[in-house]
Amino acid sequence: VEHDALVSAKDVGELEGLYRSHAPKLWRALVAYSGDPEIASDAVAEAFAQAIRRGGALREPERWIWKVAFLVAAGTLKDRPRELELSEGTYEMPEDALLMAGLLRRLPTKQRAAVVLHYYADIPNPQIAQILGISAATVRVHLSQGRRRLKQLLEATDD
Amino acid sequence: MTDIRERLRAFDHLQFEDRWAQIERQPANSSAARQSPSPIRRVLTAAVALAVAIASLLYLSEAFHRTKTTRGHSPSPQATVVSNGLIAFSGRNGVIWTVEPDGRHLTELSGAPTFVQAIGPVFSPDGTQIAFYGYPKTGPVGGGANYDVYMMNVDGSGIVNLTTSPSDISSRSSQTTPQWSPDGTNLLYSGDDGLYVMNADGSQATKVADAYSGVWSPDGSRIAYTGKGRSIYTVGVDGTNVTQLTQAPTGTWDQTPSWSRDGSRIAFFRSVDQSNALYSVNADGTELLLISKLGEMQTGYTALWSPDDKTVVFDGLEKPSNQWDLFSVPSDGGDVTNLTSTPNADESGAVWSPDGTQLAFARSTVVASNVDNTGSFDVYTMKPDGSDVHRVTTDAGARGYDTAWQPVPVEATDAPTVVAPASFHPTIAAHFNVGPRGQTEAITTGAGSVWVAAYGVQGGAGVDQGALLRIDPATDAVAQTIPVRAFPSFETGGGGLVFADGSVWVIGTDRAPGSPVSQAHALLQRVDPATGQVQAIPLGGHGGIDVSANSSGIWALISGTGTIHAELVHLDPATNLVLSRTPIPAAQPRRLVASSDAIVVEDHEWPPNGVGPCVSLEVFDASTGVLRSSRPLTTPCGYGTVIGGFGATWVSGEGLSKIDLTTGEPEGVGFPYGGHAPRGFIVPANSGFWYAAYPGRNGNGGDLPSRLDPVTGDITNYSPTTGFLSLRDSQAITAAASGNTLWLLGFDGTVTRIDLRPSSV
Repeated sequence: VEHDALVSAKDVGELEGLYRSHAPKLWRALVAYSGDPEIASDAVAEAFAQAIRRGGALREPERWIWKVAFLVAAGTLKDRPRELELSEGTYEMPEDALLMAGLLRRLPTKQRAAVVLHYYADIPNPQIAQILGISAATVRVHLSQGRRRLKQLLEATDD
Repeated sequence: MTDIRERLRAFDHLQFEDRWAQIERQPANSSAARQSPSPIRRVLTAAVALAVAIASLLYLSEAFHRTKTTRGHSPSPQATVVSNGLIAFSGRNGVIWTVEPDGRHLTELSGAPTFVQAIGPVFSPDGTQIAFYGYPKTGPVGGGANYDVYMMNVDGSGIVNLTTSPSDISSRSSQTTPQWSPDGTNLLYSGDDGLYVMNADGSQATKVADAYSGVWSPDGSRIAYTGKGRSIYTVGVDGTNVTQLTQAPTGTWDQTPSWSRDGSRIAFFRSVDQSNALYSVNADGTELLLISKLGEMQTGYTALWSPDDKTVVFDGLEKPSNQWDLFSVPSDGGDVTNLTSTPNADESGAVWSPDGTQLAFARSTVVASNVDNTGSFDVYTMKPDGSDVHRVTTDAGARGYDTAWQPVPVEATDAPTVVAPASFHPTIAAHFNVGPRGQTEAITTGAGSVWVAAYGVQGGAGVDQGALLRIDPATDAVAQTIPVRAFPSFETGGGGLVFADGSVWVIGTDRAPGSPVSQAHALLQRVDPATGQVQAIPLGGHGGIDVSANSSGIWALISGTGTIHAELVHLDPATNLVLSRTPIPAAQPRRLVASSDAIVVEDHEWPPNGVGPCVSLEVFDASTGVLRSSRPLTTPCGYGTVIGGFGATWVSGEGLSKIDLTTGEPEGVGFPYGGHAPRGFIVPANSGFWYAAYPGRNGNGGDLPSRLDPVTGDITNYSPTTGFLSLRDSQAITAAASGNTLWLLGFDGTVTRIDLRPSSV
């Protein structure tokens, strides 16, 4: 699994490498999580910009960036009511992605994050726990609840 | 098709726009800046109560007619064993001095000369700090008597004004005679319009009574004072639940109440015209007892109960000789004994030694007699029966009634002791912004302030560099921004910042902007809390991770270069010199907790496929830094936070376990959290470990502030309040505690002040 690699950024060049290899996946995961490409773009940019500033201080930049990006996105989400209209960027999303984003938005945020990180980003549970700042056991609970709920929603949609 | 993984691939088709060029150029937070901060809930606790005019006049008139102020209660009668430390007194030059009981090491506390008067020193129950009152030469009202309550370390460093506020300066009000609560978390003091209780950091001053002076009960739950009708009352520390204990007959005045050590009785003087008597009464107001008629003898100080409550010691001005002497009397009544029958000397201001075997007092051979006992005294000690008198100072110029004796707690070797759980109503007292989202890293308390390490803030060392923010607990705002070159990363879980030895220590990674990362190194910065002056202490290695302190010095955790993964660096705070460096067999060390028993390093490693131990604990000798053990934990990945508190070092996993500091092994599974584990922070504070557990927005009704009792493991979940929603909203990443206050640092750059003061029992 790519996320198991211990990446140690030694300078901005390495962070740029990390951006090229990780940012697209991170961004898509954040779109799935937030339902909003703009929130996702801001969170990715913010996480990498902060990482650049920290320079050598980051010992696990990859995991750190995932964590910070999800924190930033979560912070933005909580300022927005769930019923809020989708932003302009969502109009450019393909229909199937838009549908999935709509269904995911009906999950509580933690369940949604766990589902996205596990089923979409393929991140092992212990690392999801670290990104979300919760225990691995709690990740499992969120995953099983989120999976059950999402399946119900999908079945209802497909009918 | 309901395969989730498959359906989520829909997002693979989204077109990602590469913005690296912008990110590289733009400072962080440019995007976050347009996000509106979460609603700032700010409770103005500094509302100035209007004094009731008549009541105020009464206090003032009483204040002028008092012969002396009420003395502070002698040190904590808590179960912990204490020994005798320094004696402090208000002496020559209007400053506070300390001296060993045998007369050695007479010290004029540094910083104190900035005061016209610094008086009324009282030691904190743990003996580390001195509260006093006074007014500075550079006061806002031309050196006028605008008294404030101050706090300093016992070496005189870190002087902080705890009571000045803008409204206070304009009104020229005075705050005087601080007294510590027995658990050291609060201070009681006299304001112009009544008695106040505040947190020991100066926050949350609350008026508790319309009275001039008062005294804590030994359990800290109530305060006794002379109130309406010149009778004795008690009141809960939150100002509620007033009980009248005595009904002073017309024309008499019940004054200077004093609690017995066991808390069951209160002694007081009842005066009428020129005649005086010593009484006691049960703490509920029953069983009034006349201890002794004192006739024309004048008194003024509180009578002090002996450690066994069998005798009471007090000062009296004898007639017609007009000389002050010290007296004792059996507390159940009997003959008064003069302990200091000296024909040509005044004695006054007795205090019990913390171990209860001696009395310290002031003696003057210039018989000042009834003229406020100012400025001609020296400090003496004697046995409680008046024998074995020793002179401690010579020509100290001491005041006759401002002596205090430092308690030195003898370190507990067994289980931690905890203040009996009271009833708490944790509430959010303030919530305010201190820095940009994601750029505040760590928080601690010390020298009367709250300190936040951040970076890229205005007034800091530069856009890519750090700042130490000093937050004034009285105003709930950043009072000072101190540029520091290196700042901690919250990757270490809010570490990298500690208050020790009178200084704030900040660790981080220093690298000149634009220079290659190979030139990065660990930089420890020592900040003087009074001046904001920064001393940079380069530690080598590759980067600074965390810093902690114990009685043998400062301990820094740094990442290494080459084959050395990490190092434990031991620093002497007296010289700022490195004493030793120990290589650590660590993968990704994160936190460092130094205690008097050991240094513990929390080390994270991600096993292949997430299977296997994720966290190891490395334990080092507390004075030499030699590695004692290195042991993987069985705790689940994503967990494993090391915390110090309540006389032990703990690791927070699925439960909270004490670490055996010999083997490095957690003692069993510890105290289970019972479903809701801590999120973001867990911090030792008032009588337990406090944390927030979030059962979820749709779960059990909201966020729960929780307290785990470190002795019993009992968890108390407090009722959700709307205020606690902001705990989650601010994404609290770490916390610090001071007295009854919990300070949370949010990922969103906010600080939340939570009042943990127990409600009255």
